[in-house]
Amino acid sequence: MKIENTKAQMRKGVLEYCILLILDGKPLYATNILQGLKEAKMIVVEGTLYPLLTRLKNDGLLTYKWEESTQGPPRKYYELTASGRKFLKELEGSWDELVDAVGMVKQNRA
Amino acid sequence: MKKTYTIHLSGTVFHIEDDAYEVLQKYLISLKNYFGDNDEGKEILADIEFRIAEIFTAKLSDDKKVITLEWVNETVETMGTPENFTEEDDNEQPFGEKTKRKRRLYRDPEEQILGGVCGGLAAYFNMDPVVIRLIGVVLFFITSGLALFVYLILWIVVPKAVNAAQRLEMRGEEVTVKNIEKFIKEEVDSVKESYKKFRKSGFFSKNKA
Repeated sequence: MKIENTKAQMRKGVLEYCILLILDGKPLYATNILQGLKEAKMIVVEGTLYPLLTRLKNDGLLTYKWEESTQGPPRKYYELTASGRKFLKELEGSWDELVDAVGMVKQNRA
Repeated sequence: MKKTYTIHLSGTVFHIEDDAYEVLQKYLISLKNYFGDNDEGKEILADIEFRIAEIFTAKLSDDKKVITLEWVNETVETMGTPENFTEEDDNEQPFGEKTKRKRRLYRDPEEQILGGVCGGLAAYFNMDPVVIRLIGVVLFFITSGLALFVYLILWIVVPKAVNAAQRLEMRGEEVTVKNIEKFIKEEVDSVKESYKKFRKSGFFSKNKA
């Protein structure tokens, strides 16, 4: 049992939630999402984001549109779909439950 | 002085030094193999290429107009290799599943007498090219010449294994970063070797260099 594996798995579960959170309310392109995730130390290598975005998009939680940029080629701006927003609401619920649960376990132990 | 290549990534044109090009190329091949050749894989790869182009663009300036090996290495570190992805992602069904290695028939330019067909067949069946050639000659007489037509057709139809990835595919070796690296090292060594011989042969005079 390697601590790194456990940590990576914990992080991975929360990663999807974080991506949806970051995208909640405003469309962003991958590099903006990366900045948010890197600041929060949620991802180590940038390459992990792209398969996740594609998967979330193919699952119908995200959609994207191309937008011209002032510098360089057009960018892919991702945003939440209706089912993405619903999904996020549910995740928020279960995240709160988890935090409460861990808090309770800690308290009972003390 | 260094040789450079012109490449385009995601529609942006870059100049890249040749050693940097080698590393970038094998990195992108390894990603392609990892994510697979379907629509999803292609989309992910296009997104990653877009990001790499963006990183390079940010690094370019008036006095730095060529992508160096250092930049490529930094970028690979930022983006991560397939090995990094599997570490972070070990529960997921691996993308690698789609990349199950398979042998492909190529013509082998290194085992070439006419078109490299026999060399390619030998790599495909994991046999000695000499044996394949002998079989070919025997077939030629048995079929009273028909085998020659088959040979010519194969020569036309079968692609030549030009780059490192194709040559690994030809031998049925997995196209991973490590394998390509090993392969390129071997190539470079053999080039160095022939260069040394070339110099020794006295063809090359220092004054001209």
